[in-house]
Parts: sequence; structure tokens; C-alpha cells
Amino acid sequence: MTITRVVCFLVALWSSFGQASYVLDELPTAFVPNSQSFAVRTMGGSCLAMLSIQDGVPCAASLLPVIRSPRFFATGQIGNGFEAAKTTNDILYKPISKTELENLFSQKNQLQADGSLKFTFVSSAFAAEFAPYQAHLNGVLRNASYPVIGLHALNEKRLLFSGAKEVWENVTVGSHLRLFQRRYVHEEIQMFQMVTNSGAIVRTREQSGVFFDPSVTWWSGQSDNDHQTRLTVGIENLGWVSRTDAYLSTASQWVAGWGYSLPLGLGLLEAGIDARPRRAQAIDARDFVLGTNYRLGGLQFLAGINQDTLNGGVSFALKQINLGVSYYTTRWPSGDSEAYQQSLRTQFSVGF
Amino acid sequence: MRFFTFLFLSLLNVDVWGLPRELYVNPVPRSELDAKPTWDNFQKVIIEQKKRNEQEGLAYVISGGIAFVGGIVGYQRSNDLFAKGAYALSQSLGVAAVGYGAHESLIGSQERLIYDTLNADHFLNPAQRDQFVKIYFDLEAKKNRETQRIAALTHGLLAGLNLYNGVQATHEDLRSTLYFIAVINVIACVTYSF
Repeated sequence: MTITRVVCFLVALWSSFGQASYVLDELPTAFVPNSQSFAVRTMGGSCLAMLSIQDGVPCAASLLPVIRSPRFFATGQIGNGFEAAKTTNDILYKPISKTELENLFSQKNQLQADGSLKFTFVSSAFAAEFAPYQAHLNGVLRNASYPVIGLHALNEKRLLFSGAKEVWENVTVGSHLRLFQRRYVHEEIQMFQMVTNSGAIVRTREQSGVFFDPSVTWWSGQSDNDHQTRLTVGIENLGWVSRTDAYLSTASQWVAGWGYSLPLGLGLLEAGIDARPRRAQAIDARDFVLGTNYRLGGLQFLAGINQDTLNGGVSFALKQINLGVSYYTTRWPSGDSEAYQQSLRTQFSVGF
Repeated sequence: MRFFTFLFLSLLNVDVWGLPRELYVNPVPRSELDAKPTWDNFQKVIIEQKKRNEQEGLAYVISGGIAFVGGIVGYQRSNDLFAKGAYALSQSLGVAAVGYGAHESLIGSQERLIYDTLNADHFLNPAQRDQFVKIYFDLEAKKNRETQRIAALTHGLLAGLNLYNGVQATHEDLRSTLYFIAVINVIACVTYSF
């Protein structure tokens, strides 16, 4: 019996060498370190030249001048329910045991959760946002006979200031200033090896930084009853970070977005494409995201798509209250296989 | 959870922004009316406003109906507590939006009522109407200045209150949040002061 166990262990150990980075080749697209509003996430992250984002600071600071009146509001967002959000918190802030980790994956082999709380002030020249809590969790269990768990969890506290100004006719420039503190976990855990490993199962790391995100937007005109085209280019992550991490991209990168608004009788249709190269060397199809929304009265239908994700949702705003529900499915490539994760996200926002 | 409950209760102090519900809607151009408050300019603005109110009202009636039906279906199909709460609220907001849309479309603002009243009085000559509009907008401007002063004072007091609560708070995140709200209130106070 003992010999059988030893053989099993050796076989498992050998196979583990062949399957290094089996789960952790790359992060799922849904794991977004930078905070995004409900509308932005539901449009798959397409936002650099989109105007109809009513629940947060515009992605490009140069879009601020479009805001007509100052507003202060608080927003709570939760993806996949309270339990999933609590799990994220436990992983990041409590020492997690092997049994607890096994329990997490006892019902299903995928974990996906996110939650955030934000306080936002926006006006046409200045915006500020404080987010004391923005958490994400993605986990996957592979190979039930020889379990390997990939675990990514992150909580970011962030303070953001934005300013913008029209410098020429139909050209605005602006910049975000982001100060953030992150606590995160990126682990690939070979459960079989845990028999002999009594140390900490997950290692939490911390990262803090200060970044500028300057941008420029060109507008085709400011007419209310006419269609309008916008082009935004910018640079993200210009600044300092306390430590670099292969999975949390903090390298400076250029970004570009195109947006188009078309009034349609009772509502307003908007579409846009964003390009966010993930690698400096080359651009591929995954770097592009297409988003659209249609606003009718208090209702806003939103959708976004790129090579890895499909998002759809609806939000409803009346007076100072904004509610939103969205659904997305995302592909998580890992090694030569892939996983699919789904999430139901709910948002509640109240203005003061 | 206690932190969030306390935070929410603390935030109730903030109120009184009284800001427009729409962020990105161009208002009816009023520069001519502001510069020269005459009956003709008033009429132009109100006619355009009426047209927009009717359109927006209809959009709110339709969208409120959709939100109400969607809220009922979503509530029955959802298992998550937070989502269920959102769907339940969506039903109420849907009904409220239908009422709001009907009000926008059929009744509109107080300016519309004043316009309808003056328009219905056939004994008033154009000069008297001009005179009425001028007095009305002069008084409105005076009232707006008073409102701004009160808002500046209110935000100044709220800034002080949140700063004090921030100093007293022991939870780090709560303290940071209250400081942030205090800063926003200072900005609002300064904005309303000029």
C-alpha cells in the first residue's frame, strides 16, 4: 500500500514537471486590475471615445468636458454574489488552508467574482474618485485526478484625480493621476504536492504606484441633434510602481479609441472600438474591443465583444439612482487548452 | 459589513447636491434668453423645450415599462440576493419612470406653466409680456444667487462635519472615505461661492 502511494506520488511529481504553468500561462481577460465602471465593463472595456458612461469617471480624461453638470455619487458593484465576494476577501486577507481551498472547488471547477465600492465626483473640468475596495477573483481547477489550481485574486484601493481642457476648437486634452495600492495573489497550486508542503498555500504580494494617463480627444462637432465622431489617443501607466509583476501589466502603453454617436428618434445609439496593445512587439485581434450602447429614456442597453469575451447588460437610471445588471462569458486560455467563465454582475449607484 | 453600513449612514450627511439626472444631454440653448429676456426669446426656448419634453417623456414611459417587466422576470429567475434586490428596485423605478415620463410629456417645468398662462391671456400686449418676462428672469437670477450662497454654506458645513468624522474614525478605509467626501464638499463649497 505504501509502495503504491509512493509510486503515485512520483508519477504525479513527474507529470507536474511536464505541466508547469499549466494554468497560469496568462490572466483571463475578465481579470482587470484597473477599475472600470459597470458600463465600461459591460461594453467589454470599450470606452476611450464613448460618451454614455454615466456611472464613473470617463476612461480618457480628455472626455471630461462633455459632462454638463457636476455630480457626486457612490457606486457598489458585485459579480456572482456576496458569497463569491466574501471568498475573494478570505483568500486575500486570511490564511487559507488546504481544506478550505479544496472546499472552494468542491462544487465547481471555476471561480469568478468581483466587487467594488467607489465614490465619484465628476464635472466638466475636474473629476475625483476614491475606491476603498475593488476586488477580483479568478480560479480554475484542472485535471481532477491530479488537481492543479490556478488562483488570481486582487484588491485595489485607488485614488484618482482627473483634469481636462479644450485647447483648440473640438480638441480636448486631459490626464488622470492614479495612486493605487494593490494586494494580490497569483498562484499555481499542485494539490498533490500539498501533502508534503505544510507552508503557506497562497502568498499575498503588495504593489503600489502612481501613474499618469494623458489623452487627447478630437470631436467632429458638438451638435446635439446630429451624429458625432470622436477619436482619442493616449498613453496609460506613465509613472512609478513599487514592484513589477508578470501578471499585472504596469508597463506604459499607447491606447486609441474611436467612437460614434447617432441620435435615433427617441434614443441615442453609440458605438466604439478601442485598441489596447498588451505587448509592445505586436498587435493581434485580442487587443481590440468593440462596444455599443443604446440609450432610451432611463434605460441603457450595453454590449461589448472581443476575441475572448462577450458581454451584454442593461442599466436603468432615474433621478439619482442607477441600477445595472450584466452578464458576460469569457475565454481563459491556459496552455494548450481553455476554460470558459461566466459572471452575472449587479450594480447599484446613488447620487447625492 | 458594519463598515459599509456605517459608511452608508455617514454618506446620508452629504445630500443636497440636487443635480440633474442626465450627465450628457445638451440642454436647450438659452444664451439668447439669458442675454435678452424678451417674450420672443422665451417663446422660442419653451417651444423647443416642449418638443424635447414630449420626446424624453415618451422615452421614459417606454423605458420604464421595459424596466418594470424586466424587473419582474429577473426577480423570479435570480437566486442572488444582491441581484434580487436590484430587480425589485427596478420594478419600482420602472413604475416611477412611467410617472416621470408622463409628467415630463404632459406637464413639464414651471416655466412652461408661466408661458401657457401668458399665452392664454389675450389682453396682454407684447410690451407687457416682455416686461413680465424680464421681471421674472431678474427675480429668478436673484433667487439662484441666494440658492448658491446657501449651497456653498451647506457644503462648507458638510466638509467640516466629514473632516471631523474622519479624524474620529478608527477604520482606515472609513477615515480615507470621509476625508475624500470632505474634499469633494470643499470643492463644491468653492464652486458655489463664485
